Amino acid sequence: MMKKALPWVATVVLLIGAWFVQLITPSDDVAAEPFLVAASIGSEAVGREIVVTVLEVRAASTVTSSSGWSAEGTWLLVDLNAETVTADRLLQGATLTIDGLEFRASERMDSIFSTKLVPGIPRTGTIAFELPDASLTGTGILHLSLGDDTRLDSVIELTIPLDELTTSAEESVHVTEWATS
Amino acid sequence: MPRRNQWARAAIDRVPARWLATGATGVFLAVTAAFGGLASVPEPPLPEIGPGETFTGAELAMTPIRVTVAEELEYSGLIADAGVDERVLTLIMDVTNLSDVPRRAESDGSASEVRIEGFPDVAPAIARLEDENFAVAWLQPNVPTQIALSWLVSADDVADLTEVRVVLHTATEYVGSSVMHGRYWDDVTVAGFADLPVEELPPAEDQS
Repeated sequence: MMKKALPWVATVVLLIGAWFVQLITPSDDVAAEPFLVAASIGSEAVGREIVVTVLEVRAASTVTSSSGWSAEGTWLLVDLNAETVTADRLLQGATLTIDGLEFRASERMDSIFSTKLVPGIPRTGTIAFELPDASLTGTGILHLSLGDDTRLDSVIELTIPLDELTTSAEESVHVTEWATS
Repeated sequence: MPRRNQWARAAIDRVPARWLATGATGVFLAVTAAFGGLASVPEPPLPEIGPGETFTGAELAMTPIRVTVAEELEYSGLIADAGVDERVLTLIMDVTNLSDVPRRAESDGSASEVRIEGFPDVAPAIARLEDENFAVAWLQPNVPTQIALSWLVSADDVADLTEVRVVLHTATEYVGSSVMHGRYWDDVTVAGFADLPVEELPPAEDQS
């Protein structure tokens, strides 16, 4: 009896074991995942080559810029100071993820997005995100990095409780300049 | 083997093996004929839409609005060469990106695959005219975006043009694994048409 049951029991144990091994096996992408640096508003977050201080998060239904450009819609604006650590680099990675949808910083107006950061002297400016209507609920995850390919690079991560934002009628994208404070 | 099944075994043994092959072939042919034989199934015609109607392909909801011909269209990204008598043929279209990541309007499989039938198979210059600045246009997920797709065409080809057929596409998204990284679109195929009247825009100095 024992001899007959043993192969069956062993098979079941091995199958379940294989299922667990498969469950906990990391995917191929894990080896190249970015290093997340948690940030909070008002305090400096330091990554490998990027240093960011998020100053304020604003929401607006009309956005203007110093060049005279303006657009209606649902906008989220992030004011920040940013600098690099060792070399001049462009700030080209800025995404906001809300409920599984990933948005990229808007290229429609002049902002600090895609401008040059330098080591040691922070630049200050605004990054704007154009969002679908009624999407400012739940939690937004802001990711900032130098390149838009973030593999094995550090990424500044800020969690934004969107329900706490009040949407103003009009907000402006700040002129990108040297930070004075 | 129980005794009562022996008659069945004896009967099967008497059937010559050749009959089985013939029988199976007959059944196969009968089933094939029942489903319409080996003729290919007629393909359903591609959808045709009018101005203001929406076609969805390659995870883009595309709504062609109007087609214009102009000697010059500011911010379109194209400058017609007066010497060879060119015109700017422009399709104004609302596009909504239905995928969950931002996509560049100029990228493969995106709005850049839209064509006008009868004109050269080249990618259009894409601009957001309302921004009064020709720049790379990104389509954010679920954010409706009006873009202008423009082609340089010879003035003769558009001289008596009253209607055009816009060729809309679909494509397949792939996720790069070992060598490729990220997501990309490929296998672009024609999937729909939109018939739009052509408006002639007055020369630039008359526009205000």
